[in-house]
Amino acid sequence: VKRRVRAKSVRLAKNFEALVERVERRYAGKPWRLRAKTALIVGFGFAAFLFWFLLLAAIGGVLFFFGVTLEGDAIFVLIALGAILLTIGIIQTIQFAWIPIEPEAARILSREETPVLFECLERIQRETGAARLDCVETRWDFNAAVSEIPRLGFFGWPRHRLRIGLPLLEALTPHEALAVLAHEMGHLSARHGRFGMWIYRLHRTWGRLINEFSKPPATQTARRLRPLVVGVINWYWPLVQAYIFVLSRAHEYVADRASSECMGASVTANALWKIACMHLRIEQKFWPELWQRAATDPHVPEDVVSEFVRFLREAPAPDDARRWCEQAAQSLTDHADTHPCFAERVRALGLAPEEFPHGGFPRNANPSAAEFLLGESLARVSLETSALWREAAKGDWQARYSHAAIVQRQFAAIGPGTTADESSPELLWEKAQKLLALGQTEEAEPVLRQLVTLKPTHSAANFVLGKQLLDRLDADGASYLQRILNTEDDEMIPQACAALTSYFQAVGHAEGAQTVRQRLHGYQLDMESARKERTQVRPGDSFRPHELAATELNELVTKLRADAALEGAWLVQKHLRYFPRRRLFVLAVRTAVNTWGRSNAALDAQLVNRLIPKLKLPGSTLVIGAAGPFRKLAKKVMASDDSRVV
Amino acid sequence: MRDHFRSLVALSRGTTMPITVNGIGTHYYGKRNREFRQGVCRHCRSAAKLESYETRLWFVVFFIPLIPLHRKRILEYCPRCSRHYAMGIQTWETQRQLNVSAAKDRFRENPSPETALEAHAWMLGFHVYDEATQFREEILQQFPASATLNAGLASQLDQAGFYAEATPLYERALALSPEMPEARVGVATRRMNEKKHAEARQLLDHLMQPGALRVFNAGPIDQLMTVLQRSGQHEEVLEIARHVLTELPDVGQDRKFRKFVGKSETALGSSESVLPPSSVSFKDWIDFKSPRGSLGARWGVVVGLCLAILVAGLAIQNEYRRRHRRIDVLNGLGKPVLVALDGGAPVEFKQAGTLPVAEGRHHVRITGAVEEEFDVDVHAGYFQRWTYSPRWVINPGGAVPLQNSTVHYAPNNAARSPKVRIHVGERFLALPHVDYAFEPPPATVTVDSMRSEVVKEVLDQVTGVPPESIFQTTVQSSNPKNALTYGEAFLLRNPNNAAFFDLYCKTAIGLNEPDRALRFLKKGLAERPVCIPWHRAYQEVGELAGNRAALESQYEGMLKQEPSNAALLYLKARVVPDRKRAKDLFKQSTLADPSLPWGWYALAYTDAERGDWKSCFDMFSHIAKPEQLTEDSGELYEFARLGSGKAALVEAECRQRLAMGRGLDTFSDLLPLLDALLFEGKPREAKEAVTHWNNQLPPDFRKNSKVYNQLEFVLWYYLGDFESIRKSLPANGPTSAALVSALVATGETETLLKRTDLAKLFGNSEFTLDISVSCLLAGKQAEADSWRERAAQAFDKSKGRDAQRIAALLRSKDPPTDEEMEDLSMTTSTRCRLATLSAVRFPKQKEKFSALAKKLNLSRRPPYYLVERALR
Repeated sequence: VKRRVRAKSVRLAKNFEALVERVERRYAGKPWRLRAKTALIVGFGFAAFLFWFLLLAAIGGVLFFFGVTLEGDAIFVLIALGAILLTIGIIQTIQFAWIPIEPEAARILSREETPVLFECLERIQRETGAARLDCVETRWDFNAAVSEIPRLGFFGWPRHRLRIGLPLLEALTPHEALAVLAHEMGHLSARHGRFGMWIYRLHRTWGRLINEFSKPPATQTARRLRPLVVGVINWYWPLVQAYIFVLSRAHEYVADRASSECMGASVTANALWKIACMHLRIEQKFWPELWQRAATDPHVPEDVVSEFVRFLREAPAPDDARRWCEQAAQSLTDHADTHPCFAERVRALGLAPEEFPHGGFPRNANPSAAEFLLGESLARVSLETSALWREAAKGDWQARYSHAAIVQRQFAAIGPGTTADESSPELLWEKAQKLLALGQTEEAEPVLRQLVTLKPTHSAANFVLGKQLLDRLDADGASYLQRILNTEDDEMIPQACAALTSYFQAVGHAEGAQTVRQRLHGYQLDMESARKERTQVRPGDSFRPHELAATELNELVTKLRADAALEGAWLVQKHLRYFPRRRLFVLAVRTAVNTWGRSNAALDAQLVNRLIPKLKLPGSTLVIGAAGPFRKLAKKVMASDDSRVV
Repeated sequence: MRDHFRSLVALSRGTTMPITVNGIGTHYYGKRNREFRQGVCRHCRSAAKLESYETRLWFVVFFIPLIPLHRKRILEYCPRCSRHYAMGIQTWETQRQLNVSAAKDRFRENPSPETALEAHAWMLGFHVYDEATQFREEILQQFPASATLNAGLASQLDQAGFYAEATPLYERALALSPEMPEARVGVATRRMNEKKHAEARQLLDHLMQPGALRVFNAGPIDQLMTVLQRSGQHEEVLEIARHVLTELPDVGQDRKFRKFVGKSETALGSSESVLPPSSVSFKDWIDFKSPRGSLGARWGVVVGLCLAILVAGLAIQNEYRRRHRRIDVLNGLGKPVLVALDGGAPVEFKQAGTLPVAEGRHHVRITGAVEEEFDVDVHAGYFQRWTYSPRWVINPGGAVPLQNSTVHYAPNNAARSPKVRIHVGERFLALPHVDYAFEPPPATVTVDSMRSEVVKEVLDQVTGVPPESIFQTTVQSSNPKNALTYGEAFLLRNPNNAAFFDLYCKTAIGLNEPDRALRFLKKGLAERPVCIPWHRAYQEVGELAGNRAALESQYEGMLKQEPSNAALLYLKARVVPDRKRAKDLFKQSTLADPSLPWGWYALAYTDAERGDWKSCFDMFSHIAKPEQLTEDSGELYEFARLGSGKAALVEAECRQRLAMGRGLDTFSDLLPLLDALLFEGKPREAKEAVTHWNNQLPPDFRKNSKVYNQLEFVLWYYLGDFESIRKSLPANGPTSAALVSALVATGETETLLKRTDLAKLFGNSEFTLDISVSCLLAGKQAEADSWRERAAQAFDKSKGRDAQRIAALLRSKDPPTDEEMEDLSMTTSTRCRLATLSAVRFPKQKEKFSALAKKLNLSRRPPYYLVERALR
C-alpha cells in the first residue's frame, strides 16, 4: 500500500499535463465551480500554514494571558515564553506573508505626455467595467500585461499596473493594439482579477515555501520530517498548479471575450494572429540575431526599439514567413503557458482559425499603434525604453561577450581539424560544443552530423542535432531524437522527449505529443523503480545464471585463480525487472574451510578486497565473502544452479 | 563529486545516531579499516583531518557495552565538531561496490572523458582511493590530450582533499588548454597558496573581464581578494572589489562583503567608499538567511521585538493588576455585614470574602451588624506591582484581631525570632507585601547558598489568645483607642460577657472616652430581650459620667413601658438612690422572673455588705452558675460559702479543678483552695497544696520567671509566711502588691515607705487605706491622717456616687453611722478596710466596726493579716 501511495504521488507529480487535462474536462463550462474548487484547494494549503501560525500565536497568547492574569513566581517565565513564541509567530507570519516585489526597469507613461493612450484606456475601462489603473508603463518586450502589485504583501491592497511592450505597439495597428489593451483590461474586469491575484499571491507564497523545502535540511528533526513534507508537497503542489493553470486559462477566454465585445471579434482575432506570427518571428529571428552580436561586439546596442522598427519594416524571407504562419496556425495549446493556442482562442471568438494563414504573414502596421497612441512622445519614450533595455541587458551582454571570447580562444587552440582529429569523436564533440557556445549553430551542424555518423550512439550529439532541426520544423530532426528514445535507459531521454513534444505542439501533432509524453512518463517511472531495484541485493531476491560469454568467463576465472587463497567462487546475476540490459552480478568467494565447512570471515573479507579492483564484469558487481556480514546472501548464491565458477 | 557524496549522505539519513542518558543507551565501540583525509567538515565548515572507519553500535549500561546492535560505517568524522555520517556496513559495502562497478561498466561501454570522470568520482566518493589512483592513471593514458579530463580529475581530487595529487593535473590541463577557466582557476589557487599573488591574479584575469562573473564562479576572485588583503595589498583589493560591484551589484549589499571591503578601506584610510549605500528592507531585519544588513542589528531587531512584547506584557500585567485588586473582607462580628464601595451595590459577607476593586481611593460603607463609613486608599507602587503581593483588609468593626509577622528562615537553626505586629481594632489594614495570607507559613523553606536567610511576611488572625488579653495589650499599645473599637466589636458579638463589659467601661473611662462608650452602649438599650450586662455597663459609664439622675429618669421611662419586665426592674433598682427602694425593686425583679439571676445576685450583694453570709448564700442558691455572672460574682460566691460554713465544698471543687488543669492556669483555683483549707484550719494541707502546685511547674520556670516570683509573694501572704517574704526582699526586688500588703500586715511601714520603687502602687485607694491603718496602729497619727487624705483623694478621682461618699466619710472627723455604712455600695474588701480603719480610728465604737470587719475578713487575701492585727 505504501508503495502504491508513493507511486501515485510520483505519478501525480510527473503527470501534470494529464492532471490539467482532467481538470479542464471536468470543469468545462463550469467557471464558478472551477473557481470554488481552486479556492478550496489553495485555501487548504493556506489553512495548513495558517494553522501553524495560529498555533504559535495561540500557545504564546495563552502563556501570555496566564502570565498577565495569574499570580505567582512562574508568571514572568510564562510572559517571557509567551513573548518568545509571539515573536517567532510574528516573524514567521511576516516572512510568510512577505511577497518580494522585484524592481523591474520600465518607463512610466504620464497622461500629459500620452493623452491619446490614456483617453483610449479610460474608454476601454468604462466599456469593460475594469478597475482603475494606477500605473501605465512601457518596456521592450513583445507583450502586454496587467498585474496587481500588493502593497501589503499577502494581505493585498493592490496597485493596478498596465505594462505595454513598445515593440508590440510598433507591430500592431491602433485597432489591434486597442483590442490587446481591452483584453488586458478584461483581466481587471468582472473582478476575476482580484480573485486571480489572491490565487497568485498564494501561489507565490507557496512557491517560496517549496523553494525553502527544496534546500537540504539543517537539523536531524528536519531530516526526519522531510519525507512527510515532501510527500505532501508532491501530492499537493501539482494539484494546485493544475487548478491555477486551468483557471488562468479560463481567464484568458474571458478577457478575449471582453476584447471582442469592445473592439469586435475580427479585430481581436487579427490582433491575436499578428501577435502569434510576429512572436515567432521575433523569438526566432530578431532576438537571436541581436544577441549573436554579443559574441563579437562588447558594446550593447544603443537603440533596440529603433532596430526593432527597422526589423519590422523588412519583409521576412518567404520560407520563414510560410513556416511561421504554419506554426502559428497549427500550434497546440501546451502546458507551459496559461494562454491557449491561437486556434482555440479564435475558435472561442466564433471565427475559423484555418482562414488566417491564407492571408499570408501579417503586414507591417502603418501607422503603428505606437505612433497613434504615444504621438509626439514616441521618439522620447522609444529612446528611454531602449536605454532601460541597454541597462538591463548590459550584464548579460558583457557576460556573453566575455564567455565567447574565452571560447573563441579555446576554439583557436583546437585549430583547424586534421584527419586524425576528425576521426576522434571526443574532439569533434568538443569542437561542436565550442561552436554552440559561440551561438554558431549553423557552423556546428556539419560537425554534429560528422560525429553522429562516426558514432551513432553519441546521445548528446544526436540530441543537439535533432533539436536544431526540429526548431526549424525540419522533421528529420525527429529521427536523431528517436535514436535516443530507442535505447531503454539513456539519460538524455527526458530532454529528447521535451524537444519532440515541443515540435509536435508546434506542428499541431497532438497524438505525437501524447505518445512522447507517455514515453517520458514510462521512462521516469521505470527509472525510479530501477534505482530502487539496484540499490540493494538481499537473500530474498531471485537470481539466475550469470550468462557470461566464454571469453568473459575465462578472463574472470583466470583472475580468480591467480589468488592462491581462493578456495571457491560462485557467480550469479540478479533477476532485474527494469532495464535488464544493465546486469547486476553477485560473486561469492570463499577461502579455505575448516572442519565444520566454514571459512574465516576475516580472510574472506581480505580476499574480497583484493579481488574487487581486479574484476571487470559487464555490469554492476557485488563481491561478497562466504562468511561475514553477507553470509546469508552468499549461501543463497552458492546454492544457485550452475553458479560455481571456481 | 558533490552529487555522489550527496547520495551517500542521503543513504546515511535513515540511521539513528547513538545516544546515552546517564550512561545508558547506545554507543559506538571499536574502529576498523580507518581512513583519513584532509578536508572541510560539511557541518562546522572547518578544515580538519576527517576520519572514516567501521565500528559497532552497542547497547550500553554505564558505558559498558552489553548487547551488540549493528555494524556501522562512520563517514567523515570531524575531530572538531564530532559530527559525522553513519551507515550500516552492509548498505555501505553494497552501495560502494554496485555504484563503482556500474560506473566502471558505463565507462567500459562508452569510454569518454565524461564517463571516466563519473567513475572516478564514485571511487573517490566511496573512498576507494587505491582503485581510483589506478583508474586515473589508465584514463589519463587513454585520453592524454583531454584538458577537460585533467581539469575534472583535479577538481574531484581537490574536493576529496588530495590537494597535492590535483596540482599536476591542473598544470597539465592548463598546458593543454591555456584558456580553460577551470585549469586557470586551479593553478591560480596553487599560486595563491605559494604567495605568488601577481601570477595568480594574471591567471584569474579572465574573471576580471566585463561580464565574466556572470558566467563563472566568483569564488576564486573572493579567494584572491582575501589573500591580497592578508598580504596588505589593499589597493588591489579595492580595485577587484570595484570590478565585482560592477559585475554583481547585489554583492554590495552583502554584509560580509561590505565588512571585508571596509577593512581594506580602513587600512588605506579612504574617505570615499567603493561600496554602494546600504539598503536593507524591512524583511531583511527579521530574516536571518538574508545576507543584507548587519547580523548584530538583526539580532537586535528580533531581540528588541521580543523585549518589546515582553515589556508590553509586563505593562499589561501591571495595569491588569492595578485594575484587578481584591480587598479581603473579614467579618468577625458574628452577623452578616453589607459592604458597599463607592456607592455601589452592597455585597454581603457572613464571614470572610473578597471584593474586586481597582487601585485608588475608595469610600467604604458598611451596614448590617455595624454601621461604618470610611475611606480607604488601595495603592501599590508601579514597580511593586511586579515584585510585591500587597494585601488590603477591611475589618468591619475592627472585630478581627490580626497579626502581621515577619518570619525569618535560616540554615542551622540560626533564624531570628519572628517579628510580630498586632493590628487590633483597625477597620482597614493595608500591607505592602504578604507571602502567606491567612495560611500558616511553611515550617521550612529552602535557603540557597547565596543567601543567609529567607524572610517571609505572614498575615493571619490572632488565635489562641483570650480577647481580654488582646484588649488589654492594645490598651497599653501606642494606639489604645483601637482597643475600644475591638472591644465594641467583641461586645456586639458577645453581649452577655459582663466581665468584658466591665473591662470596656473601665478602659473607656480611663481613656477619658465616656461619651464614646455611652454612644456605643446606647445603641443596644432598645434591644429585646434586655441584655443586662449591656445595660449595667451603660449605667456604670453613665454614673461615672455624672448622669445618674438622667439614668434614673431614663429607666423610669423604660419601666413605665414594660412595668413587669424583671430585667428593667433590676436595672431600675441599680440607679435608684434610695437603697431600700432599690432592695424592693430587686425583690420585685426576682418575683417577676425568678429565673433571672441578676435580682438574686443584687440581693446577695446586699447581704454580703452586711456580712450576712448565710442569707447571701441563700440568694446565690437561686442562681444556676453564680461564678460566671460577673467578674466579682465568683469571689462573692466563694465568700458566701466560706461564711456560711461550706468551706469543704469550696475545697472539693477547687481540688477537682486543680486535678484537671496544670501550670499557671490553675493558680486562680489554688487561691480559693488555700482560703478554704485555712478557713477550715488546715494550714498543713494548705502548704502541701502549694508545694504540690509548685512541683508541677518546670524548675527552670520557677527559677527564672518574674511572673512566678510575683505569684510566690501572693502564696506566702496567703500562708502567712512573712519570713519568706522578708528573705526574698532585696533592695531592688520585685514590686509586688503582695509585698506591700505583707509589710503593712507586719507593721513594717517604715521599710515600706523607704522603698521608692513601690511608691507607684501607693496611688491605689485600698493600699493607702491599709497604710493609714498601719500608721495608726504604730501610733503615727499625723502620717495616718495624711495617708487617709490620700485615700480620700483616690476615691475622689472615681466619679461614682459611692466613691464620693466614701471620700467624705474618710475626711469626716466623726465615725460613720450605721445608715451611712448601709447606704454605701462597695466591695466587701473596701467595706472591710473602711470598717477596720473606723475601728482603729474611733476606739469608742471599735466593737461595732470590729464585728463588721471580722464578718467581712474571710479570705486570706490582703488585707486579711492587717485586719487581724488591727482587731487583735
